Amino acid sequence: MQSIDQKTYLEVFEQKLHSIQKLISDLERGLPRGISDDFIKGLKLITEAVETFLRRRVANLKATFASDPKELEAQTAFHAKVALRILGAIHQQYLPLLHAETQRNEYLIYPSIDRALRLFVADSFELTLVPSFEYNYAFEGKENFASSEIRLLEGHSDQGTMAALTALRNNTTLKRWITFLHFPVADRDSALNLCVLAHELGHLVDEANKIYEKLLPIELDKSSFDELVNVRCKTPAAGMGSKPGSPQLTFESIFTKAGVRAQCYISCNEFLERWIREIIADILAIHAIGPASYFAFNDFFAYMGAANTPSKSHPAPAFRLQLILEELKGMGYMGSLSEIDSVLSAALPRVEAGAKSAIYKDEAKVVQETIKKGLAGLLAKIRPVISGYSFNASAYNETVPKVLKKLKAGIAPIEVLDDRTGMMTPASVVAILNAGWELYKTDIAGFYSQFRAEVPKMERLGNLNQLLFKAVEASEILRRWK
Amino acid sequence: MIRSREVIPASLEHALIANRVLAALASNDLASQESQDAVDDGLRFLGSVLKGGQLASQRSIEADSYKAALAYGEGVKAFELVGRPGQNDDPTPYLEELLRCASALREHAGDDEKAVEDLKNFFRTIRDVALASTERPVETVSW
Repeated sequence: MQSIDQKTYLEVFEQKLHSIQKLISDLERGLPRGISDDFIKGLKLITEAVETFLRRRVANLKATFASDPKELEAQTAFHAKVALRILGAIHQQYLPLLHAETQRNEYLIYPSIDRALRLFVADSFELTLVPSFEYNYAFEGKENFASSEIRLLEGHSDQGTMAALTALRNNTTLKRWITFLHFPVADRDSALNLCVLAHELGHLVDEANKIYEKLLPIELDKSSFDELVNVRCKTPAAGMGSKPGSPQLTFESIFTKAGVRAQCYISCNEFLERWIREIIADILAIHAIGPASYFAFNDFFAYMGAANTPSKSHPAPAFRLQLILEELKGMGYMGSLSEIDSVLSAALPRVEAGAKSAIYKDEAKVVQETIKKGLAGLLAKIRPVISGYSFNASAYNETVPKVLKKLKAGIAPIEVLDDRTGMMTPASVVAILNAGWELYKTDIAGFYSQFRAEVPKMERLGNLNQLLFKAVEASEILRRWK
Repeated sequence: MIRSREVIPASLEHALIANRVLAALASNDLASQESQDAVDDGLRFLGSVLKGGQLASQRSIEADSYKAALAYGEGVKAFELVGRPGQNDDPTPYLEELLRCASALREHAGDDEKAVEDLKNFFRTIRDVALASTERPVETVSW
């Protein structure tokens, strides 16, 4: 017997459906034109599909279980609960995205991001930049948004419901990828800090090109995995067997060894996928924008006060920085006495020492051991995706100095002289960002000295960021119009 | 970092599969297309549970191993809750027996009442465990 009757479930569903559909429309009105169009269409489609699913399923259940009121009650309640869970997920997970988008969208950098992505993502995509008060950069991507959810409901429907859902799905075509890049609001005026976005874009390139899948299968390290399972089996189960004199219960005595092993395997699976996807994005970003990616990450970790410990979602920061610096070395950096190479070379021993001192235990130990053993092979499979666009040392030396010269003089480096044609040509966005970082890391005092004494230091830095934003935006416009 | 938001998480999908099998068994009409489709999905789910178990024992990570591992985790939980006769710790024979029973039902040869009851208990547990794992807290209090 259900504690809540089916009528209540169905009425609550109707109320919530109406509220959520109204919220979507209200939030849509608050958005700038052209932002997240397909995402909104998808949300509307899912809510309509859930309504179709529940209404038609309930009608079908009434016919099927006309002579079994108890089963009818249980089935109706189950379907209403599923429909309410889906509405709840939309309310909790997707509407905050729409709400955040009503704030500010970074129009200055969007065209450059869009152009870069088209080199690597063959399918249609919708990308939205979402400012966030959580101090974090994040990527979210959905392939075949709405249609995959509706297809799933179709699979659990009777034939009439299935036909109605299929018709609904076929009526709307959305872009293949609906993606969001989250960035901290505090970084919105810093072109230097926003270079972390290259890493987040790396996640989309990974997803769209199925890079992670191409690295599989991977076998988890045996000895550390077995050790993890044994330790977990013997772990005392909190709050159980604590009566004086009674034996302490362990996970193995409550569950089974198979159950403990399954949970260890699930969590290691999750850790490994997340860590490898981070490594993929790191490698793609470092090739795409060169040292600017390293510097932005280094500052980001510093701001986060990140301890050198791994987490469920990320390898240890020092391990990642070491990987990034070694990749730069492989790209020809750190081979000269130039200022930028000196800065990078100086960082390497510190990062190596940090990577050595990182402590790994439990799932992190299993995954670290697994990755360590196969790292060379993983990197060899990731690099070909980006090798044609790698911003290596020779590309740096060819493009950055000219841009840097203008920047040092306080000029937005929008155009540079092309030595081959003798014509002015739009500066490359990657060169602009790297010039900004080189100036910041090697000669910022010289840049600051151009300002009047009363201008605060951080305003001078803000000025550098404005020059960079201006150059990125204007060079992009020039590129489109030339 | 990667954030993932799922409107229909894998556990909710598993609850839907389990419920359809239960509805088919309750309908007393296993010959209907709908019931057969439901039992087919149940068979696929049990196959995925067993595959998850194999992958876990081989420590092998493959493209769909996370989903299979989740199914295996739920299958083992059901084994721990309803299918653990004689404190046997290995869920594989129990899960294989369920698969055999479901296959027999699909071929209209499932007249073993106990086996059908075991199948019902398994899928009822999967449905309840999977649905419960998608619940949201009713209230959050912090100070």
